[in-house]
Amino acid sequence: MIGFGENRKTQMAQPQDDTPALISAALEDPAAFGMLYDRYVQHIYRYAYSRVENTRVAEDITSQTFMAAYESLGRYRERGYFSAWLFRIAQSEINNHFRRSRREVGLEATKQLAEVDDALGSVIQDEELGRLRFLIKKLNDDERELIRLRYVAELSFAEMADLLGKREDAVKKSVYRLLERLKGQME
Amino acid sequence: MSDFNPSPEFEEKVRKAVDVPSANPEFVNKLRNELARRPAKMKARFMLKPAWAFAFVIVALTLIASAPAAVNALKKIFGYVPGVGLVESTNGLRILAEPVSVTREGVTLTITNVFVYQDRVELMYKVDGIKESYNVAPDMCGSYHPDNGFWSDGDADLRLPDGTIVRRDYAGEYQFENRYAMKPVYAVQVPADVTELTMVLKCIPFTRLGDVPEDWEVPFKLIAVPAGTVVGEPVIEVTQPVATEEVPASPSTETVTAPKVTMTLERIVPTDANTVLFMHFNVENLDPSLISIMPRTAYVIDSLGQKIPLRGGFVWQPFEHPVGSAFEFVTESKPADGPLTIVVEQTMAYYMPLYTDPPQATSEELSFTFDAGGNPQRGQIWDLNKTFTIAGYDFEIVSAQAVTFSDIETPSYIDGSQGYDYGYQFVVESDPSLGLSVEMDIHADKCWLSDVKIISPTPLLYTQLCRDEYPKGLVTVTIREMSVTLEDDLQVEWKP
Repeated sequence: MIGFGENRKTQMAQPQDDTPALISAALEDPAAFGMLYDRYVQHIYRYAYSRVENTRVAEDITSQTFMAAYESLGRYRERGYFSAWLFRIAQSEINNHFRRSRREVGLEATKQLAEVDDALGSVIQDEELGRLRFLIKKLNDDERELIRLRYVAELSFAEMADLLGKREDAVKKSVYRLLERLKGQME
Repeated sequence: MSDFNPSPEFEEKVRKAVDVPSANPEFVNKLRNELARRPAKMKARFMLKPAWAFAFVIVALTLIASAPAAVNALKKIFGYVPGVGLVESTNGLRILAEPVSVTREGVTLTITNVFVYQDRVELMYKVDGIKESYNVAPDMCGSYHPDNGFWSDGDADLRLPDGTIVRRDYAGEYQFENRYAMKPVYAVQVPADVTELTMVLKCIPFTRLGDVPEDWEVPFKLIAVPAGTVVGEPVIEVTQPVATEEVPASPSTETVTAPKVTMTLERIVPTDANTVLFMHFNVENLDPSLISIMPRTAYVIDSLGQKIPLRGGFVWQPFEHPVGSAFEFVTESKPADGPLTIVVEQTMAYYMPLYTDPPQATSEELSFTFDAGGNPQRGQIWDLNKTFTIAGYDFEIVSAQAVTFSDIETPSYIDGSQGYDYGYQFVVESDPSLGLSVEMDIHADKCWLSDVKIISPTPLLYTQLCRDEYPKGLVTVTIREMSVTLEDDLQVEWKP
């Protein structure tokens, strides 16, 4: 298991950053695609893992996502956030898996971590986290997806809006309402 | 609207509650190298031909089989539609009579595919003619619904003849060739006498409200697929299953209930661009702690001797039985006509006794402790000699050694230690024929970064590193996962 510490809390590229330049460079020189890959690979993997809960399958989905993105980059055309485009591909790959398996579970991967955390000795914190995990698991699929995109994939609200086809303020309100509800249930 | 602003502390709790592992640097590096080796294909390619051009080729029932046996009429009947997958037409499938397009102000919405199964409707549409590339805007199509956060105006509804509106149950997958293409799925039983449905779409996702025509209504007609017909590309049913040799995990330990894996080729679909193979992995001698059998490397050898890698659509299957299931492999390029040899190398069997349902062991049974003392020093070694058995496979945790990140660092660690600098490396001995690997967790705060090395053929060195300092005093470690390598290749010969 590999942790990326505080790095994973850094939200991804914003439109005004150098992502468009990296995309342009990658279109001219495939080697430059590596910089885009480095920027997003952990976000995609973690999101995939949170959906499929299996290292091998998450790696497979991550591979397929970047292979597809690599081959389709010429069609990207700077429509919205690159991250949203990439996550759309990842969602497609994940959906293909679930379509074949005809089932889906959500955020169950946290179960393993819950059990690991149980041994950490911080009883109060464990109780809180355990309760929070339980409440999150009780959310419906769309609500859990909001949590995943925001707190596992670490997307900005603008990126989430692009990905979900929603207004940014609507997405933000949805997330905050969800957190308000969770916090209320925790108290 | 809510004015609630979550505190950073609460957001951090949520983040921790849903935390998941990051990708292994070795995988990250390997994938980067694989991408770098791929030929440049990133220039814009011509558009794929519309799905309906081949999706609705109704092919007479001329299933070609490896054996010339006629297909029993009672068997399931499948066709293959690229981009869709297998389409089963066994039980009264209805499909789109013909693609339907509606054009308004230069924007054309086309329903390309519809499959009406007994329990659901799958619909596919695309949109052409949108000139502007929209970035995120506050007035983009899609709005929040208080009743359910994501019943969006951008989701296409289905209207039945009696006026019933059916909302999608599945958001649909993104079609690379058309940003606006969607594939909503509706869990609805459409009465058998219904021959016309209507797709209703308030606005087109990813467009700005007011810029593109809205309030779309697209009626379309259905036709029943006659019994004994195939939708899409013909699927070659391998009616005399071609199975592989069995793969013994390891004969070295009499107590081992070794999983025996056989691979069966069930269907094959030659397309213009590649060949799609549907395989089935059967596993015998299941141990209840076995969670997954996963092929790692697969390829075909065609009649010209070309070795063509297979990309796998692996079925998600952890935490449930039966282990072993259907896999869809696609060749990376089109093989030459003629026989194919399908090879799967390095099948892995994964065991997680603590995480099966019900668990097959307690945490105590898979844990060990050692006293690291109050001031562990780099290089210090503790003899452990703890023996464990999972699914009949024995292995021994021989020792622990205090190490730092620099002791395990390789070029593949592109992100460095990230603060995970201190930890313990465990020497694990096992029967070298097993290709056995284990993963463990140190019960201490902030222990995460892990590394596995095998000094061929044994021992295995498993390292877990922690932030800031070495865990001190009594250190408890739990074995999370064990895997064994099924060394023999799985191989299937197919002759058309």
